[in-house]
Amino acid sequence: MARSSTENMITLMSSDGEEFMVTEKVARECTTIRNMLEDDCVITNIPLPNVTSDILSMVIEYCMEHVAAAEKAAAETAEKGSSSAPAAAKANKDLEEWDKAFMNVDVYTLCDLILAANYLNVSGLLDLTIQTAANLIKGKSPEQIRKTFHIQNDLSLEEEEKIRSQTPWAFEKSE
Amino acid sequence: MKETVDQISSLPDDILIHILSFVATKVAVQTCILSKRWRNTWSSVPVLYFCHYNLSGGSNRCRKFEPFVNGVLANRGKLHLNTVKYYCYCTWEPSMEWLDRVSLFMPRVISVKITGAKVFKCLDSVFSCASLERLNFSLPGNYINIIRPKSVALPYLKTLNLHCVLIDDNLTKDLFLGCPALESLTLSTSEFPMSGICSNVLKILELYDCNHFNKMRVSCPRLASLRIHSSKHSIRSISLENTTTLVNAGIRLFGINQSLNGDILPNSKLLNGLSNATTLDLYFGHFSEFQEPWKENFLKCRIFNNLRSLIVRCCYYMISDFDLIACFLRRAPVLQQLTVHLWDDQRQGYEDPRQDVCFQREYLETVTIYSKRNDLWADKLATMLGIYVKTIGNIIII
Repeated sequence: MARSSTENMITLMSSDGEEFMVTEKVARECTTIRNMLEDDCVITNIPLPNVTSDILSMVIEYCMEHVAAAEKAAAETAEKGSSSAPAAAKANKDLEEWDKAFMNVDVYTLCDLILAANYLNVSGLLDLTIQTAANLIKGKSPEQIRKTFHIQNDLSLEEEEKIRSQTPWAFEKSE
Repeated sequence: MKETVDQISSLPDDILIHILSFVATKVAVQTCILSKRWRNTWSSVPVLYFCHYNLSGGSNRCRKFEPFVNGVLANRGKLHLNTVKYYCYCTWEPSMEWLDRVSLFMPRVISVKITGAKVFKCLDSVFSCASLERLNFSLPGNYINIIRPKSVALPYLKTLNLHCVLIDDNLTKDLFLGCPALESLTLSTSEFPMSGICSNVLKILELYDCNHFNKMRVSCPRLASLRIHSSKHSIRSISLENTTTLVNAGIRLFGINQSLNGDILPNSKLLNGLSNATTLDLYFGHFSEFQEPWKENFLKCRIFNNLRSLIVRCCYYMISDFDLIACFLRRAPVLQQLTVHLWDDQRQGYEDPRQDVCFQREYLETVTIYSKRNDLWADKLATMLGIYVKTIGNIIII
């Protein structure tokens, strides 16, 4: 493809010094980077001191997948003049499936991804990771939530009892 | 080892709040005893989701629901609310006083669904909650629920959905006067002793299974999207006026009396109102008797000059008597996509369609035929289309 060879490449550097070469289009999926590029268009090397290499590689993987899906949809629309509804629905479903598989990570990685998506301002990834975290909380008792996320309970038994008795409406007596 | 580190508690407040805004308020509130870090996080969550099913206790949970809702509202922080969703199934009348309290938090969206018991109490406060942009009200379906707000003052309300409410001319007048920014109105399973819907700002209007007692007049000069679905028998006629901006419309009327008279749908006042649309979704009726008035009115009404996509829902008789589809092929010059949903009407003995074609159109881009089980009729339809249209880009039978 002649076009991709002339496309600008950007180097992203993780906190542990690893370099990732990506196309400008992929980098622009991160609003934080897009803003940097718009402020200073000759920038080609961006250090990201808040993101480790394993998390950055995942963020890039996510951005590449979503850029590719958007490009494919745009190409189909251009080719046919209009996009056919069933094909678009299938492409959306495929991308959703990909997202779902992508979210098959441990809670520690999930939290790191949330932080990275928030810092780099990748809105799609932020929504996806936050929703995934919320799904892990949904319908769970406090004990189950602690277990899921390895939350250290630093409240003493008395403190916890006090909170429960102050908010009786929030805690029902166990049946 | 890092897999067992408590990473979530190190996330900043705004992210934790964001996460908690996707879970039921019951669960969000209880995070206050996870650890010291979580003590007050819940109180800033801008989304409240009250659902009585989240409480345990079987039939007793209704009694716990009210203290829970009031407890949350009394103990949360002062921060503005974005969204409040409330769902309650009660065998006796739920107290709606919480609505007064919620209004003080300046929410943008309120969504209330009550099933079971009749609501007598005035729901006035919600109609003067000035911050509202969206309001959904779904009341029990086994009653005719009468809402009579003393006044309506919702200057920013854009979307209003009412389910199972008696809507008369007085209420519509109050609503349109009190909601000057209202763009989208959905009324479902409601009683309609009213003469019409007239608004200069409305862009989207959806009426689902409403009982129209009178002739219904829709006059909305900015309307872009219209859906009318109904299986009730009481519909007499719908006329569209000032709907030249209408681009997307769906009309499905199932229960229309077979004893047709001059008034009844489909009339040219309805069809003319749809004539600028680019997308139409039409149900042509179960009864072949219905075909004649459609055809007659078609010939009287304007040409569908902008129509690009047409969805037709019909039974096999439509293929046997192909004229109605042929009418559209003739009177919609820029039509690109035709989608036909064939419904089995259990009747036998339809004749094969006549093939005496008096015109042919040049081109259709895509034809999609959905047929529940009878491929024979789908094939017949495809054959007929092939006769009336010189070139069809793509025929899909599903």
